[in-house]
Amino acid sequence: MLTLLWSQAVCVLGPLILGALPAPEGTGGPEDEPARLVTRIQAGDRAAEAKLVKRFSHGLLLMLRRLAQNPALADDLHQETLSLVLEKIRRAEVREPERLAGFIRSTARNLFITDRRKEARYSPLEDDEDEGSRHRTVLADRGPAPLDKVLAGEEARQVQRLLGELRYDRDRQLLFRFYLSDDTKEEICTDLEIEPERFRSSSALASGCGSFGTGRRSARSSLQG
Amino acid sequence: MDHQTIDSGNIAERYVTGRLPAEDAASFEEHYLICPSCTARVEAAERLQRGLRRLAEEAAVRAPGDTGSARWSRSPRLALAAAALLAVALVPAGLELGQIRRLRSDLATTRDALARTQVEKGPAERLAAMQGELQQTQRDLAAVVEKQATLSREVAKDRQPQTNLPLLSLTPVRGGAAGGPVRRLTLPKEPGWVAFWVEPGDTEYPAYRATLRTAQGAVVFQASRLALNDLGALLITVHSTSLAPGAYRLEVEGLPGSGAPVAVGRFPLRVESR
Repeated sequence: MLTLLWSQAVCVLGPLILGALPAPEGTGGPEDEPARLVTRIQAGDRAAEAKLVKRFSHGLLLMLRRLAQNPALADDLHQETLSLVLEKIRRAEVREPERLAGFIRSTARNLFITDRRKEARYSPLEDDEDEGSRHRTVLADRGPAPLDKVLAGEEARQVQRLLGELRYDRDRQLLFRFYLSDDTKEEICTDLEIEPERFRSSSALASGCGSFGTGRRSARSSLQG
Repeated sequence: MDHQTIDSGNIAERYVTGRLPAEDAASFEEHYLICPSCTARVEAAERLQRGLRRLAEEAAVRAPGDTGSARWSRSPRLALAAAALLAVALVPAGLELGQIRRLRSDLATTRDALARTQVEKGPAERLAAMQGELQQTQRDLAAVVEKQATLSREVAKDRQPQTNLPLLSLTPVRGGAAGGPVRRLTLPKEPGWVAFWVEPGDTEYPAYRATLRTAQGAVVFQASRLALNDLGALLITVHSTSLAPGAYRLEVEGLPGSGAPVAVGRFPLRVESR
């Protein structure tokens, strides 16, 4: 019960507290504004380059993992994107420094599209497939790594605990339908008899996220010791 | 994009579940690239989604006597379909739970009225009234209990993992716009869900419409606002009670932002009973 109250409180008060707190680590002050960072990098400031990497790295990796659906490929594209962005900034090829995030995003997506095209070009055609390539196709393990399987199991247990803490079955249904089905918010609200304006503050949706704020990376690091 | 918009519009959660229009998704990506709190929110929603999906998959695989369980666990596509079907199966259960709550509320109201009668009337009248109302309440109670038991059985049945669901995969045949091979769908022995997994082809549309017709052209169902899932397919579930054995045709049309619908697939089907 205490956990539930706490997670609900986190969700309601979270945005207020976050708004009142000083900027979190990584967002920096005026010196670290995107446009200023670009100017400093063009002036040869290596610390500004490190700052840019530190500031954009995490979000960029998250975006690439969602895009690529392949952690190894996402890691490669992440390195490639940051490297290319820094090169382009040094060569003064960024036209709108104040829109640096947009520039990084489009660079990352373009690299991903290029990689996919390259992959498609070199995929063996079934008709021309020789014995060797067929064996390679069969042997390639595209499943998750053992550590990822363990982490996925742990996540599932956490979700199970969260579902157990929810007081109303309606909230559990809301979670399943919102996160696993393609139903619209309106359809979910109608079926579960929830006022649309209450949907956002639904304890299920909100406390779900509040309880999962610790992130997968911390779980990974704790499991890896 | 500011935090008030993100918070009030459930932007992070809609982004993770693919409900955000492409333009808003791009705008949100630009924002969270530079915003640690929104990055954390996206990660949290992703973890929740993964956990829920895993639970749904585990529930589907754990079903006793399910000879197809190994098949579910080996194929991510089928596992995802199972998860979605399980989520859909929870909906009628929820509606019936609502009915049970209403019945319980009615019963409590009756008890309150009986208690008030006891207080208001004299001893003899009270006794007669009590006996009459007690009998009536007992009858009501028996009816409610019976109804509740029936509903509970139905809810329990709906909450069971949905296994051995017939899943018909439909892919357009090159040059086969007029028909292609007739696919056969065998209905389950007991009433339950059947699913169509449609891969509409190379051209992507913002939305799709699927229409199932009998051989005579009568519409069995029509579903609009269908969107491709992460695997580039449309998943349509139908309850077997709405399909009688016979010949059908599933027509899938792409709905462009403007202009007339474009036919992307026509699949002749034959539904057979087991």
